[in-house]
Amino acid sequence: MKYFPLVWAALLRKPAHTILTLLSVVMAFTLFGIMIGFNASVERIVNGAFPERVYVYSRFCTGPGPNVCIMPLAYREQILRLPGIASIGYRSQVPGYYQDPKNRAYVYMVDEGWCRTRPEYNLTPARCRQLEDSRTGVFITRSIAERYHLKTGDAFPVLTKAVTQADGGKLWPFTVIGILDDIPRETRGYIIGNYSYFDQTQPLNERGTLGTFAINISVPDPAVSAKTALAIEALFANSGDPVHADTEVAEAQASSQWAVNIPFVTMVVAGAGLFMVLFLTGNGIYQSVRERIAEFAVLKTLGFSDWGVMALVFAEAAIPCLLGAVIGLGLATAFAAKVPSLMPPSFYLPAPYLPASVLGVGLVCAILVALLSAVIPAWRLRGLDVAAALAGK
Amino acid sequence: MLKQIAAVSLLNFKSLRARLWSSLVIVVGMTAVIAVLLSMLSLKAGLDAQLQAGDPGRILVLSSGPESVFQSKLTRDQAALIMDAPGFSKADDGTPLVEGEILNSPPASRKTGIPTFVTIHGFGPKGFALRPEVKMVSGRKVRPGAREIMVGQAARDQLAGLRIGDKVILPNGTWPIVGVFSAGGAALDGEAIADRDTLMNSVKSVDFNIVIGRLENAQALDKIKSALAANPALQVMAERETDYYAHINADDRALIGAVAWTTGAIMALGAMFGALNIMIGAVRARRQEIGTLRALGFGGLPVAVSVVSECLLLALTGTLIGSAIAWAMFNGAQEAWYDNLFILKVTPGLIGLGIALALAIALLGSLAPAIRAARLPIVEALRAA
Repeated sequence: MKYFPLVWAALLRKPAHTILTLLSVVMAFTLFGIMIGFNASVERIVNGAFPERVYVYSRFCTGPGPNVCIMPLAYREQILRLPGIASIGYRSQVPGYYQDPKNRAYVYMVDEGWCRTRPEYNLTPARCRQLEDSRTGVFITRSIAERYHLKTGDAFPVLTKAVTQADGGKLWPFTVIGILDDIPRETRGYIIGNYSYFDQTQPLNERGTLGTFAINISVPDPAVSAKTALAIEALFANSGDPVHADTEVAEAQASSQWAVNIPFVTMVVAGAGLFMVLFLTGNGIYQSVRERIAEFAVLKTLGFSDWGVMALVFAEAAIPCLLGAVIGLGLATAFAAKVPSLMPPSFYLPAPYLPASVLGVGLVCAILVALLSAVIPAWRLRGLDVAAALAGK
Repeated sequence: MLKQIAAVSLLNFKSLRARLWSSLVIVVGMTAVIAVLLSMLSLKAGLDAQLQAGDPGRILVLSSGPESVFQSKLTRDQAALIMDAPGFSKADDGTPLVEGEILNSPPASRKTGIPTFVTIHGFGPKGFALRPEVKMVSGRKVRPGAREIMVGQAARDQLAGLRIGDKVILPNGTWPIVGVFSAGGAALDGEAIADRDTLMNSVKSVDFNIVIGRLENAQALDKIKSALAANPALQVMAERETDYYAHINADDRALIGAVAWTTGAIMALGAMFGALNIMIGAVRARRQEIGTLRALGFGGLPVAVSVVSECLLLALTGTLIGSAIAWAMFNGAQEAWYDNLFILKVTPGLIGLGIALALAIALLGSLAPAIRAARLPIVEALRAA
């Protein structure tokens, strides 16, 4: 600390240069923070996948988006007869909107088994009973409640375009019966309704059908769940309604690369920004040291060791890098908080996730940039010929 | 004056080598900005090119309500009413060029192993006449009544197990792939075609998803729309096929643009501060030279121009390298945006955009140092050493 004034004087020698360097570093680390934050949020979803989980869909869905693929509820008994199935639940869905087509509302209509199979949705047995006891009741999450200013007991009518009721009705008169905590995998919140209410509203020929089975196998092993998925596909391969089964792990991995390869893109962009500032700070510190060779020679004459002089050079590089990184990562965190409101409603990209561990990676990178940019000039000072330098040679 | 500007600038360019490393900072900075920006925008340019490859002479009729063709449902009676509307062009046999179609999307997987699905269009007897841009690349067309599939070339290239001879699992058995077609870069290139009635039997559907037709002329869409609106038995909406594709991925294209420009703007700001930094240093390094020139009678303007032109030259060099990197890596590369398969494009327009951005950054980064250089008091400049 006692040498801080020396470093400070070096930085103030060209204040414009120091401030502009700092600004460049701030920009690079803002971008870096946003990029590693996106990557971390995708990683969190992939790592949060349940290894014991398998999903079953109708094989011939009619396409992307909220779709109308259905399969017989009777499949449940056949799947349960397979070895190693711990629990099975199912759901259908009401894809619609609340008040305005811009306010999408995708309601999962679930059975009691689904509550048990997908515990991450915060549906305790008591809440599940509450759901079964109220025909039109739905649970919504805090973020949805805040977005539409809803509380328990409020009406939450959902209008649909695709799924209609037997009588042709498109309005689903839901009522909020409780508010749940949000979870990372549902970036815009979620809504849970009652499957049996859904089933009763359907035309007779479509009753007893559903959209998705969720299954937990007894061992949390992705290889076993992949085998189970194949066994389920084989079970119905020759039936009139063949199915498609996926493990949650496979789906989570796919989701990070489905639109673009998010891990790849974020790392390349973050790296490009860092490379840019590495060149800038490296050049700055090189110039600064070259112009002050005599000054360093004096320090050495005064008894500074090689390592001491090198530490001074490194400190001169590290201060703008670390300060810039702290400001930049702060800006990235502020930006991350804004992301959910900036996303178009149809796009479910998660916001950058910037916990202390991810921010720590940013700071480590800042130190690395400082080290790399200072290494060549610092090394040159090591073998400095004091007499020659003082003579101005 | 012009002679002076040229002389000072040339002199300056020749002395650039003395400031090689600091000059490289601007070049590397711009290379990074432009390479990242153009690579990201190549996604949007690719999707735009795919939209432009569509045929505005074709219209889709969907049941009103659903947003996508997959959820749209039209009974045969409704389809017959739609096909009676005036304004469709005529086929060779004199019948209107319009018919119902069905779509189905069985699961598939990308060559990278990522699960996705492939959309199969059930073509009726007029399917090919409706889409003259569809050309066979290899193999043959599907035969009416046969359980056969042909795939677009992008689907063949990007998805696993979709070459001629491979089999696709459908509800009543496996269907062989008998041909590969090109749709001239439109979305259909990433999809597949089967015989409509065979496909409908197979998926047990009695309804169409859409009715598709060719307009007899540019104004015919309004005629068809008013005819459909006047029929109380129909609740449908008609739009150009190109407009349909444009609005179903409008959000996605806007998002790509926003992400690219947010990233590009942050990087561009960083590069601009960097350029400013370097140019201030460059003027400082040239003080004696500038003082000498001024003492010899050169004006302030040629000196200022030489500073700005140095920055422009370096920024342009970086831009060209960055564009070259983006072009070499991504122009013509296969890409998948969800289930939409297309080709990335680094267009001349995008490179022009990059050059314009480079000029703007270079100007912002060098104007203040240039003015300072022009105003440098001669005596002081000469004394500085």
